[in-house]
Amino acid sequence: MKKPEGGLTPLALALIVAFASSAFADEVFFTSGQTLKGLVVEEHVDRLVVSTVDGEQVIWRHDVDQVFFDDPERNYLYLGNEALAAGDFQAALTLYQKAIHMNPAWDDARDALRRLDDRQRRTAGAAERPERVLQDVWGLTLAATESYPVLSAVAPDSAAAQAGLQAGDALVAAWGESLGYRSLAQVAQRVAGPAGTEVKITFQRDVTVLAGAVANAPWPGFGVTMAPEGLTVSEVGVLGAAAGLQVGDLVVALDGRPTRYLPLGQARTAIAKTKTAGLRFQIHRYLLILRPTGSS
Amino acid sequence: MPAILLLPAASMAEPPPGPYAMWVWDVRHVATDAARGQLVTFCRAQRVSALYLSAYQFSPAQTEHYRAFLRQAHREGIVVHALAGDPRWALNRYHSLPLAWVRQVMAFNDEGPPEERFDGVHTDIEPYLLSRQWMERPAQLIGGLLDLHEKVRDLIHTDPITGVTAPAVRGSQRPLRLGVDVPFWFDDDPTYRIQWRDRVLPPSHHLLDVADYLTVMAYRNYAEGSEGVIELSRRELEYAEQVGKFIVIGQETQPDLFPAYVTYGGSSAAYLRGELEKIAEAYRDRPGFGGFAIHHYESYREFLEKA
Repeated sequence: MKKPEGGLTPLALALIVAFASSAFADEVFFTSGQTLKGLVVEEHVDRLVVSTVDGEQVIWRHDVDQVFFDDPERNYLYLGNEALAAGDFQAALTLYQKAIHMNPAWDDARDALRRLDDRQRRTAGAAERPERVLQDVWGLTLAATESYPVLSAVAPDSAAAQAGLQAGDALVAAWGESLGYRSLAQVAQRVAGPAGTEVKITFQRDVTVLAGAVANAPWPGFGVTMAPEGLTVSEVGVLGAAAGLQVGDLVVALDGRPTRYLPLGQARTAIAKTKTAGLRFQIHRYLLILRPTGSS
Repeated sequence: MPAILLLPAASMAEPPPGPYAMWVWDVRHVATDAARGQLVTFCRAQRVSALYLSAYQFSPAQTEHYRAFLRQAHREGIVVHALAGDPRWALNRYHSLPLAWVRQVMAFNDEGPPEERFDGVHTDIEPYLLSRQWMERPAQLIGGLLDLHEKVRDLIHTDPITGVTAPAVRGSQRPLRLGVDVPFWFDDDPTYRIQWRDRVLPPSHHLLDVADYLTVMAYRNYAEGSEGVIELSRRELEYAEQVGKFIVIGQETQPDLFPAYVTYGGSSAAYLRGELEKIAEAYRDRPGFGGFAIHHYESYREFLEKA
């Protein structure tokens, strides 16, 4: 990942470079023969979101022939994902390994290898009704939304609750693969799996930090920094901890405002100014969950 | 020995046999003074005289890293080839992308002094990783692969002033060489023989007609026998000699690969050296033998440290 400079988000920096010279851009080739240059900022099962000079554009997968990323390791990850989707585990493995050769520290590629391993295990011991497994064994109930599925209920003391999930959390990714815009059955298939195996779940949660939540606690006491992935919680302080913030949480929205293009300085100003009303964070966090017994 | 991989004379007589090339995939190995120093020191210790260095992106910062490394490597007598690839580059529809990359390498070279220039471009395309298309339409991918390298050859070997394309032969004085990674089985399986430019040949032989050299990924951890490295690379070597080119024999050092016989990762440095000595001995004095290419820097380093 590129290291951010001067408080700009990594994406903003990448966009500046991309638009200054189209040579440094991702390129989408459509089945129609057209192409589009920009930066792919979201990848889901049915769509991509591409940031272009004209703003963000949603591109439907069925219109896409190929995507070529400017980062060569992303190309191998992309091709590995395509191979995995086609059920070609050996090609997926080779392609993921190539991505890791190019960037051994890249979590996305390492997660992809784990996802491949997970897929192979799930294929070998697939649960017949994974949604049922999530409900009966994990203790969670999924509800569909327009994007990411939401946990409509988490049973007290269930495996899901013990793992740290709460009702209202949205499931964002499993082993780095987006769970957005999928059917609940597809989501459950990726989350459930053989008992005793791990799954890395990225979830989204709304956290509101209130100024008066703890007597005499100074505002804000918590802080953010710009990590390669985006705006990230760097310290939680008394109030942040009371609200449930954790160091390392990726902040995707502040008071409803997406942070994708938000410079660090503006984010810090917003935090400093919103003292009285409290501040709403929408965060992404991941959990490594050991699949509970019975979820085969 | 081919000029591209020539070693200092003093080290030629010493074991282990060579010369050696090596893939370097992670560009962070040339991003800092310390990393560059470590890489060059490793090359010196292991007598690696050519690198296939991943160099697809040419941002201002990366450009500086490449230049700093090229200066240092060239001072040590190490040649450096810009490495890139993508299985989809074998499809004609996307040739604009690799050609843009080659133009970037050429522009990079044009903008710097000789000691800061890449010595070649090296492709690692492996179209068979597009497994469904490879099963359904291998000829389309192979044909596209050949077309692409012909275009690249014409691009880098054409004199910009006279427009004359010099034959891509070994010993050519052209500034950039063209090397291609190919699997050993490209000429073992008759299924993949293809008619191209009015000749029916295996893909690797067509590629030898076009490129300056091939690196044959003969990934076996034993030299001898019908499935050993010597036999697996023999036909490429013989054809290379027919057309005045050479091959470099790729050897794998990553651990934990399946099947285990594709890598030396589970064996010892002494065993690796012994097998390479057998190969070097079998091909001693053969003009088509350009030495070995070790895959890859990090795994080789770990392999030697473990050993």
